[in-house]
Amino acid sequence: MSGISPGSDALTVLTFEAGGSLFAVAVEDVAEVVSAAGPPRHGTNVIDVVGILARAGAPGPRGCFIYLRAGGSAGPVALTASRAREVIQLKREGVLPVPGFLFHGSSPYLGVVGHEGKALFLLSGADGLLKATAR
Amino acid sequence: MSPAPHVGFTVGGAPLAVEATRVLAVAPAADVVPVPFARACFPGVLLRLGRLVPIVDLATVPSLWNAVPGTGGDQVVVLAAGEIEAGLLVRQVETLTPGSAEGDSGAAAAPSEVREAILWGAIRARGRDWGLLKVNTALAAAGLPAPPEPQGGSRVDGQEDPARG
Repeated sequence: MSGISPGSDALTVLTFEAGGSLFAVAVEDVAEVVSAAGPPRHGTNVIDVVGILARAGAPGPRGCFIYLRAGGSAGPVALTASRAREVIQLKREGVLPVPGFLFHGSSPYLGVVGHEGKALFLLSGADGLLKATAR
Repeated sequence: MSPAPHVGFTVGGAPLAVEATRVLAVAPAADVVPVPFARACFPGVLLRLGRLVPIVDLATVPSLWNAVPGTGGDQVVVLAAGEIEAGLLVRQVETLTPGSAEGDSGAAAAPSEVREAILWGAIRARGRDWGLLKVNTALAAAGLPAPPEPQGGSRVDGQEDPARG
């Protein structure tokens, strides 16, 4: 699984908020976090998580772009986030798989775990996210 | 022999029932955790016994209805469907003992707004008619990997099973 050190049950992730939900992505999949005050870099595949999750019309503010390390040939990939939060460690055994049939395509998640009384959705890497959010 | 107890509820305003033995739990809908990016028929998941139980709003699956129903619910009925568990988003959960109340005699009619394909038939309890839900068929229509309906299905003792030839 992405983000898990060999021989370790710990998963180091960057957490962020988007659309009122709490997400995480493995730190080894993160290239850079950049303020969304300006536009994304030219040629970036932007997965607008904040916009996709907007409920009742207007999305909340996009605070930053989280650039991911893209393993494929799709070019740079960035997520929008309301705000990046912190780097934490999760125990692998606490991550519950999310059934794939909940989604139109493949699951965008490696799993979900409880964190600070909320559900923390652990996102898959850039290639998996592009595949899961393509319509 | 006394009739088998059932659990009744409404989905999109339609009164439906399942055998009580299939019901694993009833929980408030407030416990459902929304899953971002999930399909519209899945309002979220419920954490139960260390596993995530998918919750389905059958009212959002058009193929199950003759008339467009209202959606949403304030309770969840968790059901067993083969080896999987799934919850239905419902309203007005109550226990039913068919034929035990005044006004329960006579033939029951299935709710007209629900497609017959997901009903075994109907029962009458508490002076009201309830459609007997084919749980696995309904869940499969929502995209869950539910197994085929068990042989014999769901029926009230003394009542013909309409799904059997």
